[in-house]
Amino acid sequence: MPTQQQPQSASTVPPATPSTTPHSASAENDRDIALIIRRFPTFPASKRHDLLLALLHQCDPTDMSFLGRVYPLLHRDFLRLLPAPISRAILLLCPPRDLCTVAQVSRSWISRVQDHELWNTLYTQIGLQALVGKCYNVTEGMHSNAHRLSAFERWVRGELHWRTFRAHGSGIVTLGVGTDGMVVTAGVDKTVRVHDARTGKCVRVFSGCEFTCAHGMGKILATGSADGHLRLYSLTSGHLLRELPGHTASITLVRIEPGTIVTGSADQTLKIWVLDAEGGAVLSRTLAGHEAAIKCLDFAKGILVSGDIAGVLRVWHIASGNCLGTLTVSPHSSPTPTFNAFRKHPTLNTRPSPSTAYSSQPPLSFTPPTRHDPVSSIKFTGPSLLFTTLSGRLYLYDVTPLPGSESGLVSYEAVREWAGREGLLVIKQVLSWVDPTTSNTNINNNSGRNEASGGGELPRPKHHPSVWALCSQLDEWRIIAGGSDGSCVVWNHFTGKRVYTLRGATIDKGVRDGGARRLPQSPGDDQDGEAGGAAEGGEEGGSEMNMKAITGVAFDSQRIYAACMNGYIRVWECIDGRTRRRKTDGGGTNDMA
Amino acid sequence: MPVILQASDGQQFPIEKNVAERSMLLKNMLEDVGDAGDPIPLPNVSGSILKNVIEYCEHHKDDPHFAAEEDKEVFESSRKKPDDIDEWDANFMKAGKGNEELFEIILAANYLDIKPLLDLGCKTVANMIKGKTPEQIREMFNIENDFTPEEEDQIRRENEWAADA
Repeated sequence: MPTQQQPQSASTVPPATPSTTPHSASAENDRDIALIIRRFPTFPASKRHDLLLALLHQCDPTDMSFLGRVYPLLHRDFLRLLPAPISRAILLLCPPRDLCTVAQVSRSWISRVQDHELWNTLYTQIGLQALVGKCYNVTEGMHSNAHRLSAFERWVRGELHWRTFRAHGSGIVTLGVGTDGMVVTAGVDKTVRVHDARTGKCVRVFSGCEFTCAHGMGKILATGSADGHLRLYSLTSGHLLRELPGHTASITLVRIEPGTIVTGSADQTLKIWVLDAEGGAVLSRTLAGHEAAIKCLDFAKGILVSGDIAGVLRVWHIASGNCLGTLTVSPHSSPTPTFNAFRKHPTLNTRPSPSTAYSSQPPLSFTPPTRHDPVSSIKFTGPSLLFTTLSGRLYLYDVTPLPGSESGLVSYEAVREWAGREGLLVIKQVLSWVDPTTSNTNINNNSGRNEASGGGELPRPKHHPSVWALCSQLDEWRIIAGGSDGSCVVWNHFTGKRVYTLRGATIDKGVRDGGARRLPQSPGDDQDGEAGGAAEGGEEGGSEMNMKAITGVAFDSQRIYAACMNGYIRVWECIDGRTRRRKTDGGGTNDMA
Repeated sequence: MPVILQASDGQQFPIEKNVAERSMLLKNMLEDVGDAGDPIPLPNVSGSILKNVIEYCEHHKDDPHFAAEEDKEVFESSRKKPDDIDEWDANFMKAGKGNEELFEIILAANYLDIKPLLDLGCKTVANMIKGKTPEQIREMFNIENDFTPEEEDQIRRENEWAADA
């Protein structure tokens, strides 16, 4: 230990020397001292140590106590010596990359950078405080934590590359993205196409009928078409595996998950299909109850949520086929639709009766609202339910977890008890497609104008009276929705604040950052000439509103995808280390700043 | 009527009231006791550091007062960057100030509750850390490497920033 300390005190002693001998201030002394100070750094380490030791031997107690006082002041280890709030403030200013470096300096620096309060603030700064418990893991090493934070920061700041590629000759009606980055789209050109999102290349085309929707899972693609038939294709070979008639009108949405396919149709029914491992499927149930064409559906953990064009959502228990309750959206009455569980239930029938059209319609008195606000999209993850209505509103609910749903089968009684609970669905956010400048004051400002939001009347879309919310997606921190005006809005669902609005090549940041900014285009993504030219960064055509409409959105950890009625798929890619490096390849620093 | 500040070493600095009010500590003190004209003792700040702090406050005496709440709002969309330091401030921090002085100024700003100066100090330190290697940082702040070689190896593996992760 002493030998380690000495080189450090070496550099500290010389400046102290003059003050220890101030009274013998003769010119000769000054000259000698100056000489020693000048020569000292050139000595080899052993000589320096010898000299220091010799000096220390001559020190009297006053000198030693002076040294003891001065030494820690010279040995300024900022992070260790400054009060904790200040060293935290310093680290808050360091980009994630530097946090990694700090975590390699010394034990005390590691403990400063692992401070939970620091990470709490780091996440709070980007509006994601709710995620810190989940995303900051002290046992994982700084590398993983810093990269995770860095990715969130880039997303929140909108450091995105934008590109677009043509997927269909005309409008796209649905879009889905697999875990492998494959984008599945159904177009009005009567094809379903699979594109590799990274290259924009079409890897497979399915044709032969009027497809209205498609959803891929693993190796199987499920499609719905205008003739009401469900078709299953192999995504690897492209062959038709099954064609399953059943619906009497066009299928509007199909969702496929392991073991289960659910279709919703304009014939006002939903059908549940049991899927086997070989790609065979059998109709298990037909769910009747909706009194209008079904527009959208989603399911998770055995619970299905469907929405129709009359603004009614129904919650179903998939295994029994029973409807658990409804939510009704009407544009004028209550601003937040509440869940009405059915108190009276039909006779219990938990045995599925395959291939028979079993209808388990509970008795209900339903009066259609005077003005409909069609439900345009639903996302149900289990703990959260998000749906959008055509009038441009988004509703996000927290859902009480269904007990036992993790372990598998839950009895119908348990589901019924769950559905009958008070506060099953708790409204978390009501978002509106209002201009950002007004949305902040109206929705999120609790002080002041309470009559605007508290009184029950929601802000109406003033600036874009005709923007319809057409599609939406939800992940651990954000909601993305696509509208009929061609824009995608990203909200932070913890704060309810708009993060930005994506309009092709431009991105509108929140109110304070002001103004739109053009995004850099990813290198080499508009190589096919058709993407060059017209307005909105190279997509041709579509001055009519319906041509611009975003009909499908999806995202994964690296990209946001949006399908447009003009046949293009837009991709916003988070600028990460790799993208940056590829871009600066061939010279230029790779500064992550 | 000037306010007189007295440093720990007894040096006295008469300054204008609006300069003194850059410090929340002094502002509150002046509001509470009124300016009786007696020197205000600052036992935690030495004369040479206080001189620097006053220089900073003189230059910034007409700045609008810092609104902490507003700043929090800005955080939401963009984290503060350490490199947006105005030119005068950057020069003020550079002009012949070693680590010791920087350290003392940060402490003084904290004690006197001068938020913009504290921020400036923190930014300066963050910039010193920026882009350095752990070894360079140890040198800069005289920090002993208290890891064993094996530990250091493991820490590097776990904590090093790799751009392609």
